[in-house]
Amino acid sequence: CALISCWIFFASFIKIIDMAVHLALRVAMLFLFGVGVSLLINLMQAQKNQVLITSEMWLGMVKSGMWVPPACGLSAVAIGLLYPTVDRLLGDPTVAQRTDWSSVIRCAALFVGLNQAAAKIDFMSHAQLSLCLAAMSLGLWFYFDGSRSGLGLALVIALLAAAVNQMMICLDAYRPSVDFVRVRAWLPCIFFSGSVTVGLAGRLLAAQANSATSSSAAKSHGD
Amino acid sequence: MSIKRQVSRLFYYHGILCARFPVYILAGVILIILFFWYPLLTLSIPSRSPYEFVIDKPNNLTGSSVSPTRPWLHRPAEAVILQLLVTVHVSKQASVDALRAALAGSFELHALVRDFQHGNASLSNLCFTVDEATALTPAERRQLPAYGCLLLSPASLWQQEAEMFNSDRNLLRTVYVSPLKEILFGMPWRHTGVSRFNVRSRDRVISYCVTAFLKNHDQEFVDSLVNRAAKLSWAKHLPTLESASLTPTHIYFKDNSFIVEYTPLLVLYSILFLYIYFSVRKIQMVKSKWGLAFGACFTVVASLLMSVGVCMYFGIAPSLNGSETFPYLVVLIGMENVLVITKSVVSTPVELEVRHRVAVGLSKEGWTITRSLVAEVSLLSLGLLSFNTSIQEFALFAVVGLCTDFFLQMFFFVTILAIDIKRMEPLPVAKQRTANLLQQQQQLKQQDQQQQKQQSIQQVPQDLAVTLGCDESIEDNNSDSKPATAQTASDSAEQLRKLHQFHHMHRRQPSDANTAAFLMHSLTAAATSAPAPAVPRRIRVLYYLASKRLALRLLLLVLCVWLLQASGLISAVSRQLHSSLTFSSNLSTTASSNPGSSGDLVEHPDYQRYWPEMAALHWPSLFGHYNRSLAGRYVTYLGAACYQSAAADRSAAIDEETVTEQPQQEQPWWFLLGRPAALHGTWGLAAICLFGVTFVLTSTYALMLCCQLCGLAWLFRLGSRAFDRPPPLRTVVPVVLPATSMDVDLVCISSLAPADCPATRRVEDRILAASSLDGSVSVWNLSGRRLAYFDRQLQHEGQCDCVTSDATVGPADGYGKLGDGADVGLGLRQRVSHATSLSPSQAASTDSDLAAATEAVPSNSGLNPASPTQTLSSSSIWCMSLITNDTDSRYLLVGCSDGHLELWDFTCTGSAKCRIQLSAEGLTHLTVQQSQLVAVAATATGMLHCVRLLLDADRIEPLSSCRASPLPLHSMLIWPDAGHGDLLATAGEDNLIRFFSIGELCKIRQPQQQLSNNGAVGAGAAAAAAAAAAAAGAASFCTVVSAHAAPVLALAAYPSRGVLSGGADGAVFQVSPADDRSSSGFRQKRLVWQRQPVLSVSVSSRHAVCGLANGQLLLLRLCTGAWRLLSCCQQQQQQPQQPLQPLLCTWSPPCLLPSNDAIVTSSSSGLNGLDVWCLARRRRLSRVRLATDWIRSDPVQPVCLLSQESMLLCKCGPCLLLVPECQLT
Repeated sequence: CALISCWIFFASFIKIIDMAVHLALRVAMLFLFGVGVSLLINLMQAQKNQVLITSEMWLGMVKSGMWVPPACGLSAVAIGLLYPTVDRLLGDPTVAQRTDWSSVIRCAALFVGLNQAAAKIDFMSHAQLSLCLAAMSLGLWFYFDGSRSGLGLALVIALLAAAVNQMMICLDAYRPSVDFVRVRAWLPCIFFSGSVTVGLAGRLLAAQANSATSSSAAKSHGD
Repeated sequence: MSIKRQVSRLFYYHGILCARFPVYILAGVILIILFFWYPLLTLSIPSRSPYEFVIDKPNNLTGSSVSPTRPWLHRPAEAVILQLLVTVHVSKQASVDALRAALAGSFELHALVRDFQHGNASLSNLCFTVDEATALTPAERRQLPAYGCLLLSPASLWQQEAEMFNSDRNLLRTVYVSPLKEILFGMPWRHTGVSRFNVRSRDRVISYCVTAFLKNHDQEFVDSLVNRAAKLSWAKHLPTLESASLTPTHIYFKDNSFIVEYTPLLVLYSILFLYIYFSVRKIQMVKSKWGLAFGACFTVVASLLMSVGVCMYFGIAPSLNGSETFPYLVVLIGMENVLVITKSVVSTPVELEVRHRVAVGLSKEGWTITRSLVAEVSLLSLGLLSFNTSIQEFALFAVVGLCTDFFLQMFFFVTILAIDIKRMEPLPVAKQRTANLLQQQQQLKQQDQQQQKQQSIQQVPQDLAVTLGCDESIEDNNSDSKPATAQTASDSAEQLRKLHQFHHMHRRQPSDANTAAFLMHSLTAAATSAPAPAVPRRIRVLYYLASKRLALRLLLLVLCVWLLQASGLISAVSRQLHSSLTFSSNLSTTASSNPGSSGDLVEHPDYQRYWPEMAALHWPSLFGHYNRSLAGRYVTYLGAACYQSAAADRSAAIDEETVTEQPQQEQPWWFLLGRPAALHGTWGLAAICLFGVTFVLTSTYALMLCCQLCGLAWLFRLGSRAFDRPPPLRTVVPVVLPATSMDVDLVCISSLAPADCPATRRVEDRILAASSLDGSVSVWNLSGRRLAYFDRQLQHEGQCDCVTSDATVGPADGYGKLGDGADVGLGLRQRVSHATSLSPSQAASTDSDLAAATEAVPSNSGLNPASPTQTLSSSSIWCMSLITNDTDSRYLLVGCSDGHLELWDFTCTGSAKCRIQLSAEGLTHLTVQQSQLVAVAATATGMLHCVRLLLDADRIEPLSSCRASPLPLHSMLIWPDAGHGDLLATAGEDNLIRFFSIGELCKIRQPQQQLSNNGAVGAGAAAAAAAAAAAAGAASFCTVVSAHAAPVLALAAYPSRGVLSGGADGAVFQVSPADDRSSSGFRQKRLVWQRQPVLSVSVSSRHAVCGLANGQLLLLRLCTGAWRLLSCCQQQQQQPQQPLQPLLCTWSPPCLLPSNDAIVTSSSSGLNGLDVWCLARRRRLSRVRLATDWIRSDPVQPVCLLSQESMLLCKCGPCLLLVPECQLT
């Protein structure tokens, strides 16, 4: 009896370890994804001489703009974990089933393209820039995600991020170098499409982790 | 028919087409690709590396006010660029070629600028001098100035020689083939107004620039040059633009660091390759992965290049940076369709023909592909509405690329996929090896069976059952009686290992994995109807909120309002509409209005809008041609001075002899198709996109329709008119009743229980029995439970009740007979025909030889119910019948090849109750009249034996026997005739149909001489005597109908009306009781007379179907009491013509058929399944593939329709299959 209970404890411990490892992997991948995307966007904007974050920092905490990539990574982790959770709560895990890595990469590439369009193309007005980007973001959501929960979540995240950004400006946390009106025009759309992309990746990672843990659980059960 | 089905049908035909003519289609596609690639030869790739430039508009031109942010202004400008922009208005009444008239002025202007002098300053000492252009072809090099001033104009295309210009018969071609045309015209091509289509019905505006590159800026010189040019006879300087035109701009070409410049590009391309890798990795189960992956990549790239070509045909040259937009275009177009098509095609069943596999795979995904194409095109078309030229151009290329990609996928990729699948077909050698292995295995198994013969009765050959994948169903029955000998296990394991080895030698996965994906579609429908699980309340609340979609709608509304408000879309649209209405040429979107201008004053292309493109793309590349780099330098753009000319006024001045015969052949041939609208501007692009999509879709549909209408029979070879369409293939999972180790030979099923006994009308009470070629019999009920299994060889050893068995012949001999005996594998008809190929006496002797090779039949044993026999086990079952008039006891009556009639009880004991020998010949036919418990058995030589079954006493009492025919019988049935009791109808080799009254048949006291038939000696004389006796007594109980001129091969009764007979002469007769029964008794009517022997006849309440020897089916219909020939249908012609065994079914009401009659035959297309033919619609209704795990693919033969249970009973190899009726249609 003791042996059995010990075995059960050991098995559950193994399972917990397994889940933790998978979770850590997911978190690490999402974090790396967010960091990479933020660096890429910054590089693209740097081509246009519109570096988003330059120098003056809030209360002198960080002297450079190097806090942006980790922040992007953390938010990517949060979004990537939030999407599957919301899916599970709403009982609509169908998106992850028809998603695979190639479509995630496709979505990411189009997201990068969206950034490039925002950075490179000269629009007549900020309104036009904003409109075009919004339409493209909605198209991105429609084509790759298509779920209502995804739309709602992305909208909420975009609005939230834009509000936080605005608040930081108001609190004089940092001062954008150039033409912040332009930045304000495209930032929510970029947040929207970025959260769609990260959400897609997060869903796929969650589905794979689920299948991996269930298969390993089945294997241990079989043993 | 819904659009979905129509689309998938189109894809089906398309798949067949592609797989049939792969070479022609590939050749045609490559020609089309090359045709659309041809314009790419003239594509100018302006700048190979992206230049970033900074615009500065200084207040002071001298550069004295150098700001700290513009340190590069310290250095002098690399060049100062001045443009003289000429706009030529060509009225629609102009009779001469517009381009020639427009460009003629460029020579004059070019010469003026070249030779201009102001004071002591001339252009030659102010201009920017260059050496010879390098890295160009000689023809292109001639068009650029060398060793002198850099002065560009369209006149440089003809080396500034007016004679060359005038003698050029094809100006448009000269202009279009030059890759330098945008540099020489000084503006992006879409602004020039030059198009390949000469639309003469409206005014045109053609613009060009003369571009002068100066060393440094001399304002005085420039002003005088501008004013001098305005004094040209034809030029009309636009004074309103003069002041605004010459505001200089510094353009700085940044010397970007390598990382900043190329990192996004590198990331982009790595993402692209990741995407391609992840996509192509999914191509599986094909012969050549690399080949198909290359094909997929080629499809995408070629479609993109084709889209550029198509756009250039329509006069839209790409202005975006190709290396940056290419990955996005690839990703946007995607390879999903290719992968989906591949997956769908390779997951079709491998038994199908290649073209059917391709067609089925395509048709399964056709609707999805079309839907996603339409969705993508509409999404991208929205991009055309964004009033930004870059996005519009990108969207345009993407839309055209999607269309060309769709075209290439459908015609190129599907074709190479078909070729690949064809290469992957298993070799016939491999098939042969499988067959050999299986045969070997069976022989081994038979030896095993001999060795373990002493074991349990219900021994089921495990090894084959395991390989057939149906061991679970057997294990229920005999888990307690597993084989014990180690040798058997090792032998079967060895066989299994060989089989597995064979399968692993083949590269493909096992077929069940293949079919799994294929089955998904048909199974998901059933799976979705599963009951919903219990949902927690909070989730239900969430669901409720979600179903109302309040939040979503609110958010969407807010978003839309915000977007509309913020962007001013409405005002933009109205402005666009207004401008397009007022000025239809739509040359420039935001043209500066000219309030005081008269009607002849046309608008200029706004150089403020086009020069950034020139600066970004063309000027760096122009400097690059002279081997100079602008990186880190800046140029000063002074702007463009605008002039205007009306070519209509000048047309007379141009020498007429050169322009009178302006050839129409410049126009491309498709100009005749219609007059294309103005192709510039937003609405033009939208029109192109819509036109392209509609054109591709409609032309594809029209092509398919033409194929379908005109050449269908020729193209698809699907037979005659009525049955030519290939119906959809559906996959059905049948209930498998694994019978025995060898093939199922005979199947009989108990008749329906009487209606007054409802307890017996359950599914479980209906039973069916099947005998296999090795003499074993299995009995099931319809729920799939095996009730009994006898191995007759084992039974006869010890458990036969009434036979005192002292078998002397070992069963090894019996098995030897089974192994090499020629008669074992033959069906009943072959058996009979084998007998009929000999003379009657020979037949008798052969038959007795065959039946009793080692026995000497006791002379007096025929009527002795308990006579001891010696070779029980050597006989095989030739006919059998089930007797189920009682629910408690069920019996099986078996007629054997040695003339024995056996009665088996399988209710509880499963033992042979009784066994008598009726004759020395084998019993070929057996019918039982269930109500009177009278059985009639016919021998191969035409004798009829009538017995009474005493079930209570477990005894068979022989009643009578008579000779029905001197020749063997082919068919015998009991025809329930209401007036005269049941009649027995026989048809035989003697061309006659006989009707016997069963009641009178039982009363005959047979003459004793038939016993002498037993011996081989004197059989001929005995037969003659029997025939005489039968003829003598025939008057009382037998009615002979002589209708056919050849042996009668098939009989079928239709209740209360008569009998249909089919003969070897090809005739089908209707034999029905005459109205006055006293005289002739029966009258006959010939329904059909054709050449092919009629092998089988099957009748339902309204229809009859005859199977002919060449595989045709003959349909008859009962109209107002008479049979009419309905049609004659042929299965696929290229199939080997083998006779079909059609089964005519009257379907139960749930089937959605207007007329409930349908025919079920074995599949004609070589797959392991059935064909269902609808009689009312006169076409094949469906093809059904039975999803079983056979190793070998035996043909599936329909046996009968169990109408009450809605099941179709089929036999296939060693198994019986129960197919749900509703899945067949």
